[in-house]
Amino acid sequence: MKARVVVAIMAMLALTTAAAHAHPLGNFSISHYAGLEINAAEVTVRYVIDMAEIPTFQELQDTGLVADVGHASVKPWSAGKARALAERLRLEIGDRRLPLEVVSHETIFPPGAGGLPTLKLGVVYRAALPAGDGPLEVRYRDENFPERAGWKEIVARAGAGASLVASTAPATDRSRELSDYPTDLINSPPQDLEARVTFSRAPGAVVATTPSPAPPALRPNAQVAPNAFADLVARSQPGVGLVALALLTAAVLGAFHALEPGHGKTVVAAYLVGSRGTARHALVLGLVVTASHTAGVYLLGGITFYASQHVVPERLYPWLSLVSGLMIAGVGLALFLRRFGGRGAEHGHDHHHGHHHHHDHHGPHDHGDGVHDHDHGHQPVSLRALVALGVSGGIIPCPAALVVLLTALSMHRVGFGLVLIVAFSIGLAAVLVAIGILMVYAGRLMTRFRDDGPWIRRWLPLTSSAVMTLLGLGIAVQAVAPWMPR
Amino acid sequence: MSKHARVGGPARVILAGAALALLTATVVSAQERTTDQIVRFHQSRVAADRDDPLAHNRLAAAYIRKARESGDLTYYTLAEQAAQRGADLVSRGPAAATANTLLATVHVARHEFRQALSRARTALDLNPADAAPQAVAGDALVELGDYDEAARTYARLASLTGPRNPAGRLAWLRFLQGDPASAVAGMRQAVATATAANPIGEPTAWTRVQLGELLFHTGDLAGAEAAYRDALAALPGYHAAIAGTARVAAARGRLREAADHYHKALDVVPLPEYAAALGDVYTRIGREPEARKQYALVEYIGRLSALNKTVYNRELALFLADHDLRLPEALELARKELEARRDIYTYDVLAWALYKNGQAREAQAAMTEAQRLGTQDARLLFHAGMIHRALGEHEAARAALARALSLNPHFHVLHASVAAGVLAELKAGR
Repeated sequence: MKARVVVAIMAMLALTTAAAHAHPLGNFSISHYAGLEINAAEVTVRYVIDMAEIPTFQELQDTGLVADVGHASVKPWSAGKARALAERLRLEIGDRRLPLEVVSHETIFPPGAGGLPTLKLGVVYRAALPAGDGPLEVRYRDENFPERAGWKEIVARAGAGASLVASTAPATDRSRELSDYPTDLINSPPQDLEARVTFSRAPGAVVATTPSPAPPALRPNAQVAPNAFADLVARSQPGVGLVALALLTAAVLGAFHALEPGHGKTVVAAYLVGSRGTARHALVLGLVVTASHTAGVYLLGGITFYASQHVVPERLYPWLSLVSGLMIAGVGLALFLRRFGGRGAEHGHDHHHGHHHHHDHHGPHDHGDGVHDHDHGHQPVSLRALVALGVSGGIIPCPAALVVLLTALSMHRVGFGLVLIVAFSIGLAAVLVAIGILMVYAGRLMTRFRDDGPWIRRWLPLTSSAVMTLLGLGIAVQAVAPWMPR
Repeated sequence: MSKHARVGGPARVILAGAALALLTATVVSAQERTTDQIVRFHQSRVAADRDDPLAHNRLAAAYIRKARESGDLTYYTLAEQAAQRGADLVSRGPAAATANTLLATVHVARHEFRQALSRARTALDLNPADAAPQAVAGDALVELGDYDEAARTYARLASLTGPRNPAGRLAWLRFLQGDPASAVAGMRQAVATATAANPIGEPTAWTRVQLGELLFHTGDLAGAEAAYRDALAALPGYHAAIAGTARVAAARGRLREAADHYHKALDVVPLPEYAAALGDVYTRIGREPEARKQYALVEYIGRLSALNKTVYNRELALFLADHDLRLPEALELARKELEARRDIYTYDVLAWALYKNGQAREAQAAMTEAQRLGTQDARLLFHAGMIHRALGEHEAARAALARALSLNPHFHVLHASVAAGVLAELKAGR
């Protein structure tokens, strides 16, 4: 359980930190990285290109590439680009140019500012060395994207059967292959596009043909976390088919989103289990949670949009995370205390069949018959209570949906964003209602086992509220972490 | 391109002046070096002594140079850190004044003109004999629209001895004050001074681009082309010079060549004004899909700069108004910009956005502010003419449009023909 809590918290944090980050090197930069490895037989170049938001947009515009790793356009683009880039990478020994052969390539699209896509392409090239031994000087020059700002780094290492005599390039990199850009006052981005490496080969060293190396393990920038949903809004002008696809994807995302913790779903489930709810209750409660959840997103989105006119978003987001974290923690704690407190009372009722506990909506009940009282004059679940609970469970807006809305706002595509949120909510509602109904029947099932039933039904809600509290605290701590003294 | 070059002129003067001054004063030995080498050199100085304010100041100046050369605003953050450290290390005397001047320069680059002015004044209090803060203060005043005080500041600057050359700054001020001929003469003098200090490198290239802009304003296309060519000789691949060459080619009707040059400039730095100008060239050729692509790029950059709170408000407002896109937003952006600065070009953009939003009367009031110095700029006159016509003031409209076209018959790849068409219509209507 502990592991699951940690995983759940990590998932939430990933979503909250996805909010708004520019590319660390300015949003029109194109960064280069070349890792040269020289062994007795060949030179391997691990080459990475990291395009920030604007060059990525231009690339998508010019080539029809779609910023989605699974899309059919990515592989051919990647292969073509790998070949095109090789033409302007010069690897020379004396006046002889060594042709670079593409061994493997990979492309990813880490989200940048406002969830807009950036692009990272990794290629492994290989060039055979002339036979013989004795020292040789290899010259490397990168003529791609001349004059464009960016991080330009070259490292050189010796492989099997070779050793470096002299090198203008360092042996270790600073950026972990363009996944981190540590910049400070005396370490501005490197601007290296050329290197000269002199190496010697052990006489008679025989190197077995090296296996094809995997493409560079591309990592998104350390400063940003992925958010598929914001990506969706950030796409350029959608056609009708793409809109339909976007809506469908939003609904599916909403459905998956409902399975993440902290969306009132635990409240719904625990409540329905605890209060002998029916399928109809599950439906109403699921819909109310969804409606209030959507309203909460709209409301907070509006407030955020208004506030962002006056406050820089970078300053606003930590506060937003803090407030929503504390709200989630508060609700979780309140539920926990109520359930924990209900334990004593429940003990008292354990062996009785008093009717007054119908009104105890949160205490687990102990009815063995599984047949529900549908007498409307004595309904165990009133509509008002349902709505109140649904609203309190759903009003806490989740950062993921909020990011979608804010991205849409920031891109002046409010209408599309709102429609996407509706699709998202439909997916969310479907799963919440399904879970609710499942809980209703599971709850009935559980009550058949008189002995372990109450135990499970007591600890289940207690655990779920504890998880909510921890989640909220996790979000809040994450929000204030940057302000903490180190 | 044209928009930014004219609009951003004074801001660039500040930066050029500050970097030029500081570099010639402190990095004499670095004449032959590239900017990256200068940066690395001063990084090593700072690494050797973390408590040396002078080394921090020089590093900050090198970062400012790098920022201007590459167009990458992130280097201003490093420049700010270095200058702030310099200011923290020493609180009085010339070194403290220089640190504050550098911080003021960074503020100007970020269009924080009031902070720039107050920093520059702090620097002046610390070292009244220093010309550099006078220059930055004057430039901030120009952007804030306080032209009289700017002129007085530049006059004090001229009276101070030292390597700071106020000729380029005074040239722009004269241009704004409606005297293009003496502006061109002053800028030629600035070019000569910069070239004498160092014939190659960004400061010289930049001053030559400024001369090119002024010559273009006066309709001297051949002179402008030569100035851009010289700038490229001083700094090959310099994006501002490439874009200037593109603008001249477009004015001469060599539209395909212009498109090629704009593409080259965009490959170096995708500035929204370059993409907008390229889109206009494509519109003129009738290649609508390509034009739309460039306009979409401008809007994308606009969205990103809204997310990042960067400085393209005025450029974006003008772009939207020019292309009849999201006009209420254009107006909102122009009004927002007026909070940052109240110079004539901001009033001009506001007037144009008001006119496009159908508020000709309010546009007229803003245009009066924009023309308060009598600046001989074809774009201003074109806007004024269109606003006059919307108000039914045909005589004034005719005069303004005719004046715009006589200054430079090719002042804009699309608007020049609009101006000519409206002028012909007005003449026929009499």
